[in-house]
Amino acid sequence: MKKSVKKIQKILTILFFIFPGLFGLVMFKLYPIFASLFFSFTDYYVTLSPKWVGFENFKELFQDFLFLKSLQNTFWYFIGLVPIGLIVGIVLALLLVKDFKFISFFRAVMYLPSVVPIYAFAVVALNFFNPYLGFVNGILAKLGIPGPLWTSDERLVKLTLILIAQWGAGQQAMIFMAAMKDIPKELYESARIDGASKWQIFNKITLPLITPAILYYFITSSILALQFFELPQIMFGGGPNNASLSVAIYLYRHAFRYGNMGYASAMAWFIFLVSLLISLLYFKTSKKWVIYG
Amino acid sequence: MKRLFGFILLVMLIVIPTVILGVVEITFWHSMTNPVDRKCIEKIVEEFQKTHPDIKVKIVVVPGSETDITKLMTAVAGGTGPDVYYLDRFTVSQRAAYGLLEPLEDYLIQLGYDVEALKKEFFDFAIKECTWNGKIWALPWDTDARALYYNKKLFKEAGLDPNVPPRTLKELEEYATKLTKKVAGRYTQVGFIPWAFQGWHYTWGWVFGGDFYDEKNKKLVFADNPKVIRAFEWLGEWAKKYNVKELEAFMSSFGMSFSGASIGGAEPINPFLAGKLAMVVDGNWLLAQIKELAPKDFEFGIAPIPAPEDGEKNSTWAGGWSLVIPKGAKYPKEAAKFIYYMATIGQVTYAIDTQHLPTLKRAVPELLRVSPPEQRIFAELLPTAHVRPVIPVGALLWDELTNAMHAVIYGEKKVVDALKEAQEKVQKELDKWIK
Repeated sequence: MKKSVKKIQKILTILFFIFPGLFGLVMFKLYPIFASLFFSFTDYYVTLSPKWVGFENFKELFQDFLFLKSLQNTFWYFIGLVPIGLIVGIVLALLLVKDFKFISFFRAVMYLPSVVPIYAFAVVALNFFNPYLGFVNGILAKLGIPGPLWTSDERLVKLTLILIAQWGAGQQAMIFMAAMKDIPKELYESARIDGASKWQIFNKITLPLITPAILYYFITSSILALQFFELPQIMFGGGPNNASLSVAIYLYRHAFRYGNMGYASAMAWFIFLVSLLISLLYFKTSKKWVIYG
Repeated sequence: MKRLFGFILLVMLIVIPTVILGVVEITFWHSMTNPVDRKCIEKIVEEFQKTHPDIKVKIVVVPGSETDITKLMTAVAGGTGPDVYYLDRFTVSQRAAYGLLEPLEDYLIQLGYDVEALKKEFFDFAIKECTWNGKIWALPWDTDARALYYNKKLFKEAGLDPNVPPRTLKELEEYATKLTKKVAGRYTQVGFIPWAFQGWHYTWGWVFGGDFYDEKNKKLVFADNPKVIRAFEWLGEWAKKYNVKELEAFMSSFGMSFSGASIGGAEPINPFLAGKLAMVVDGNWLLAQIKELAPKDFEFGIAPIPAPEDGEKNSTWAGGWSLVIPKGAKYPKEAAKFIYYMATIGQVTYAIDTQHLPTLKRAVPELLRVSPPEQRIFAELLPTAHVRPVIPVGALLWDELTNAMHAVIYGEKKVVDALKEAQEKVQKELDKWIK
């Protein structure tokens, strides 16, 4: 009897101390998440009470030309951003993992673009790739190559965005570098004694041993790619001809321009389910390719 | 004794309302960030406070745009909205239908204003936009109109008479060809881009004599209207002839794009003012920009938008803003009083000070007294101006028409398909509201 009272007291004390955190989690995370799940089954315009419509919103999604187009665009972002970001990140990490003079300066430079506010960065990037006046086409012109219309050709605009997004590759490079530093030096030494080539060392030692970091990268970058928003929105407003429209931009339009929160919520949950599926896929296959030290 | 009595009465008359009834403070949110407009608003509010000592007005400049009213929406939902809000007029019916507004007409009647007479003081199109379900939910504020601007200097260079602007569509096409220059595969000067600036779907649909909405049957009709179809086809042909991608690249070198994103949010350079684009369809506000930003020797002319043979001559359409009472306002009656003052007496001051076209009929001559002669052309177009369909899905219709237009000029869809898809999608949303 006495024991159980003490136990309850203890639980209450614990609850008291974790209450602020718990309150924040429930109020500002769980409640909005589940509210949006509920709204995705309704017609909801913020100031009017929601009206239940069942799966109507989700059915609508697959008849909506622009949603399908934005889904397709997002798919291309995903296909482009994740692997290219991986290669750029690993190459940067390889370059900067060795200690030499002024290395910390170069590491800082690598990370610098990630610190620049995305808005300022987008403006710079636009001038960089401007078809008429841009730096890239300026160089191409000097080499005698007619520069492509990077930002105004609807077939090229996604590629342009994927290339531009690599300026933030310092972040994943940092993670890969940390993983590389963790690899025991003896492995490299014995490999060198056995006469392994540089490529063999990379392929058989470095790459396998940073796979846990790669798994982490795959999951986070895939989620970010599926929610790609700032760059295409700031730079092109989804254009030209909605060629850079991502699901996140289309969602934003419905939520804040048409006040159509129910439909926007349905979109949000759809893309959440896709993210979940992809993350699960990574976890399921990870046993086969991720090597834990 | 009598004097003293009178004095006491006078004091009581002044003191009682302020002590017992209290001076009421109403909040007014607007998004006019232009310093000229903002200062004028402050001036009008001060005058209002002088004539209405029982009402104090607190002005708050808030972020917001034509269709983005996120701040108002969240504030009203949270019960912290203002008493008066500055809203794009073509969205009044939409916001009223969404339950975001208080019925202004009811408060005006309670205050004893003659609403029917009041309506007649404004242009019909402006009142039409303020009406939803047989009631007015807003009083109109300023308005605008669209016309063709052309660069006289470039006309002379191309051997065209600078005093004869194109009048027909054919002339427009001929002039544009003569005014376009290409060097090494790149445009160095462009004659005309129909969809740039104010050359919207509505602009050309109406110029071609088309119609978008059947008010009686509450049906969108543009996809079946041969003249709207013809207008879109013409835009598509233009895009093909000049290669839309290269035109977009040309515009992007001025920091502009056809999808409306003014790149990087920075103030773009206007290619028309820079003397690189010979003709544009734009609004009367460009006059102020020309005065401020164009080079000293800039010579321009204004003409009605050229129309096809069977199209509409002198066609234009008007937009503009309005004043509303958001739902849950604490002092709706005082707000209604303030809106009445702003829309009538205030609008005259606003027109004179800022050169915005007024919706109040009697403010037009006042404006023309002090405005440059070019403003007259726009003022003359106003009485017959079109307005966008007054429906609760106006923002969606606008965007869907824009999407359809882009799909056509980029050659992604056939005109008939693009318009049909847009019409079906918007009609479906519209039907939810009119049951």
